[in-house]
Amino acid sequence: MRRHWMVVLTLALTMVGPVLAHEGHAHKVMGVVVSSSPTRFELRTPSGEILAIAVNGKTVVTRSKQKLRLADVQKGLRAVVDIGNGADPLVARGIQLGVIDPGK
Amino acid sequence: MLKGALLSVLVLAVLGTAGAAVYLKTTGLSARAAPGRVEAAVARRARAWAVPSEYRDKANPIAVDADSVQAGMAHYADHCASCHANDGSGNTALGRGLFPPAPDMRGRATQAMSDGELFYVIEHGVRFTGMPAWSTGTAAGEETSWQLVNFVRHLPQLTPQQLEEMAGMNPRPPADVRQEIREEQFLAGDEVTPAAAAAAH
Repeated sequence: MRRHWMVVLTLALTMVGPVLAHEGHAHKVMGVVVSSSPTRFELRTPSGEILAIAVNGKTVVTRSKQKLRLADVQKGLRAVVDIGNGADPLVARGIQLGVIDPGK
Repeated sequence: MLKGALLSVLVLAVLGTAGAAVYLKTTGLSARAAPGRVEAAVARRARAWAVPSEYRDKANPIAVDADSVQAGMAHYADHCASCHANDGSGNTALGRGLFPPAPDMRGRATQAMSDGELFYVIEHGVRFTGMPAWSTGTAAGEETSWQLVNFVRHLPQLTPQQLEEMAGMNPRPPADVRQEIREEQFLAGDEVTPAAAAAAH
């Protein structure tokens, strides 16, 4: 009986990751860029959480549908980031840039 | 003579019934498997044969120009792409799950059909498949179907720009539309509550 429950528990735990990061559904996070480098940037969400998000050659940066460069992801800008399926480590597929955060 | 004919009919009826029973029990009428080559070939020929000749030979009254292709593309992205995919490949969750699966309309089987056959299939649908009848019984509806025919012809030449444009025309759930509005407001500098931001999902 105990072994049976161990199997159930193991299965449940192994399914948590895939369920949270379900395939085929784009996750987006919004926030303010608090730091940036050529390989990653940090985003402060409205709830105050700081997320470290990697960028790569496939990351598409836009503002009002106009393509920009990764270097345009600057501290203080508002951003909506497409993080794919949301699996760790977070990698930006797309970054939409907005105005400088008025609360900065 | 009559006795022989009756016997033949009886034997054919028994064989047909037995064949149908075997088909039902072996497939379980499941839509998960793809049709076999023979089944697909027979069905394709049957459908082609069933199209009334007055449709098969019908000429497309809508000229193939940028306007008609654009109109067909907009209608296709909104009404057809859920099953057929924007690129016409049929590679969508719905398209793959149908029986038969949505065809790759860029391929020969579809492109070899006459304009009239394509028009007939769009207007009348195809029984025992996922293809519905789109006819509205109006001249405007027929015009739309002919524009779709022009767009189906254009599928093999779709550009990446057109695919991107179509992605913006695909139907979206209301929650996604509301979310996009929230994102635009946030990017423009509006206040966003943590709860609204958390819904960005």
